[in-house]
Amino acid sequence: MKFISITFLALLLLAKVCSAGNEVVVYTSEDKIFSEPVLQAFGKKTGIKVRAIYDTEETKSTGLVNRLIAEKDNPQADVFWSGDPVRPALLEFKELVTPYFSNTASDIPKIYKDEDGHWTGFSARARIILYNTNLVSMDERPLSVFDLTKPMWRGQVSIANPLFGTTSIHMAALFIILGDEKAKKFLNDLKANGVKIVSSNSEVRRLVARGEVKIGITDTDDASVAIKEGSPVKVVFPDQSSIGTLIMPNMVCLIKNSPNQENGKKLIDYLLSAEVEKSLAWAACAQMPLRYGVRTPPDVLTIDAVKGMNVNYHDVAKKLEEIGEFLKQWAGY
Amino acid sequence: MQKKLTLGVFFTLFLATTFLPIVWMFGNSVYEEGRFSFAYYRDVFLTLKYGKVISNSLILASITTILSSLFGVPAGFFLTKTNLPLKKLFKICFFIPLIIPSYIIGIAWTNLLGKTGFLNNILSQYLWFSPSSISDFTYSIYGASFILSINLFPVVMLVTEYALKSINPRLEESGLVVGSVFQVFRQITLPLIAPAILSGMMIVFVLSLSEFGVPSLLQVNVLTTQIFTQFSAFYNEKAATAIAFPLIVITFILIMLEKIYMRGKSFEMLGRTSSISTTQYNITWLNVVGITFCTLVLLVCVIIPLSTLIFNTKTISAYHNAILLARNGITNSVLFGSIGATLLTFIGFFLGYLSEKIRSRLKNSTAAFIWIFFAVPATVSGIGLIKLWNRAEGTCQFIYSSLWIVILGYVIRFLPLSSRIMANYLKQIPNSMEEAGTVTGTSWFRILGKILLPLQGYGLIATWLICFMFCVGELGTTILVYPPGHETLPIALFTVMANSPTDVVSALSIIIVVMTLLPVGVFLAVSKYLVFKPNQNESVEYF
Repeated sequence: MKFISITFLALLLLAKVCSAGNEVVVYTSEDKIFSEPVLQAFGKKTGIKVRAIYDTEETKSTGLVNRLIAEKDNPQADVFWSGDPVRPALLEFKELVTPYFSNTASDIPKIYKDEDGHWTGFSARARIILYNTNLVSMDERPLSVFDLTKPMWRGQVSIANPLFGTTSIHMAALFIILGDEKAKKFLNDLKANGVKIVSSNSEVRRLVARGEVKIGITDTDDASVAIKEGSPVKVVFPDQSSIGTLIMPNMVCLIKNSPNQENGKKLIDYLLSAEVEKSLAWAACAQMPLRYGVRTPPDVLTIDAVKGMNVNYHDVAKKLEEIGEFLKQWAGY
Repeated sequence: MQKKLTLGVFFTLFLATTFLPIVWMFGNSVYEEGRFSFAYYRDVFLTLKYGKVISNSLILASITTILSSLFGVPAGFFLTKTNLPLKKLFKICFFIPLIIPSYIIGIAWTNLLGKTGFLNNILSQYLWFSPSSISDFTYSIYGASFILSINLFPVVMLVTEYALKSINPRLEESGLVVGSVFQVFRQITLPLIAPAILSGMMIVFVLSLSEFGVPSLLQVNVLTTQIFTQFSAFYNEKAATAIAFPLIVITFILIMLEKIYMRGKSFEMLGRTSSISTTQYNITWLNVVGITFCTLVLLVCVIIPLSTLIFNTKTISAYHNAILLARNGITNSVLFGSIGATLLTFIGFFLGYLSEKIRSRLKNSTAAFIWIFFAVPATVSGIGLIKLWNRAEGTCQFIYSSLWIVILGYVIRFLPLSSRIMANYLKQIPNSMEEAGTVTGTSWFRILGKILLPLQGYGLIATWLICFMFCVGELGTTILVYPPGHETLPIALFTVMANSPTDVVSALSIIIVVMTLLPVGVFLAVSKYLVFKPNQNESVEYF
């Protein structure tokens, strides 16, 4: 018995209880490989200890948003840095975030900021068509997502499960732009054309890179990684002469009643700075700065070079809730 | 009194760590807008909406269980009962599939069997399959079962192996005097280890029922992917919890079936002597069959997935980068895994005793009651843990913000497993042994320390090893509760998986394999000295 109690006490000593101090807790769904250096730079610059929880890709675990919702009564996180523009709106609907207008965001275009200050956008990704250059020639490449319902691409197109991640946001945006009827018809035509629904955007990238399918709809960061790995793939920004493609900024928000509000605000200020936009443009994720003045590498388009869909992210979040059941059935779930 | 009090304490521990958070979730799912509502359960049980999904789950679990047993039982037999060369190497290697996250094994096989995959090319060239039919097979419920069985067969193997070691060799020796090896195996050995194998199969069945990674990768529509959809696409934890309920019902039905099968059968005559006296067959043809079988299993389950990973890590710098990413995860995983496995084995022993050795009508119900919680999906447990331990007043912060919340996650996930394995081993010790101790008037703790625990040496080691591997590989619950700075290896792997170069992800997977095998190897080596070994003069006959 003595042995047991000694062991128990020894184990208890191992518990390194995370104490409050000069720190900030951030939950981020931006890929760790890209977000970690940014957070480390903030820590170095300000001396504030950053304690981060990173997420997996949306389809690999029930991650951070569920955790934030479950922790509502005693929030642990101060800041939520979302890799997409819809989850923060969702947290706003669930009354988990508190408004904060950051001074550093004054030069970020208005359409990327919530007018009530619940969330603010920075560095963006876009939805793109990725094609395998060994299997598709430059002339054949589809220039619109609507081309993918054509018989020539039968069984050759891959898309991530539209219930999750950026694909779900893309679908909701299409429903807003096209109207429900047309959007449903497009999705049904896509399905009739044998579209391959896979688990995630990175799985789409893998299948296109390996030539298992000729074409995939995915995000700019996935494409950028495939290109950097030397895969035979190229990118098309779809529908540039019509509806445009979906632009998806990162978004940051302050969690209501969190333990380190002031440090949270400092982190938000930093994340919204031109310095962070620049570093995310030069990183492998090749994200597009929302400010016009930030210098980017030659292969990263600036936001004004891409025609984006004219949608409000609030509306997209609402639409997503509406069309969930349809998408579930469409995906065969 | 001592006994009752101790068992009571451990049962209360089970209620506090496992029962409460899960029941909290289920309670919450029938309470909507201030009143009771079974709306979500009506959807699941009274409409046909989930019929297909439930049958898919059952098919997936059944095929996986059958395939795992086809791999696992013979592997366990050959590694225990024959004198195979390189036996130890096989043994260690066969742990590897259990350690590599199933998702990674899935990726490796889809790379090989996909339309442009190496194996697909060979198969479509020399057999009559078309490349797309092979690819379609991979992305089906059958492909998912195949990949899962590769992942889970070590469970059946390990259980078979330790059950074989626990058989009193004299039974087999007597059989061998009058019958052939085959007869002895079929009529003596197999019936004796049947309950252990059945138990192993049950574990695999429930594990594949609650598996999410592979069905999600291959887009197979099962209960777990539905639960995930409710959580992650609709943020509806009540609906998600309700969909998890069939998993518990299925597990409960299985337990009932098992009880019916076991009724009237007694396995107490098994009494173990020592590993030295395990009957081994030194027959050439059996060795040849054994080595062929084990090599084939090694090829399919270990070498193929592992070589794909090694092939992907083209440079040494990939390992360097992976180690940098996983540095924190390595120490955390080994530390948390060891604490978790030790606690699970310790508590599991007493719960196993409670569900196997007490003389009460409640015995069977206790075992069933503990076991059904094993079917609860990781996410439901994780959210339950947050609700229970993240108190608004901050009273439990010392648990919620420390490694203990991760350990509690391991306990909630695997305590039913550890107590079942322990119960299974305890089943083999005759009650008379404990009674003999009691007659002398010694305290129960002394009987435990001098009789039961030493006799359970192998059971304790097997339980510790299995728990350690499961803890180190746990992702679903840990990712929901781990405090900042407490990430484990699977979290390191899955959080860098998105958009990290393939070589780094593969290198990290290999590091996970090595880091898990190292402590397992050390433990196996040390365990030799921990196990009670009566010498020939001391050995006792139990029948």
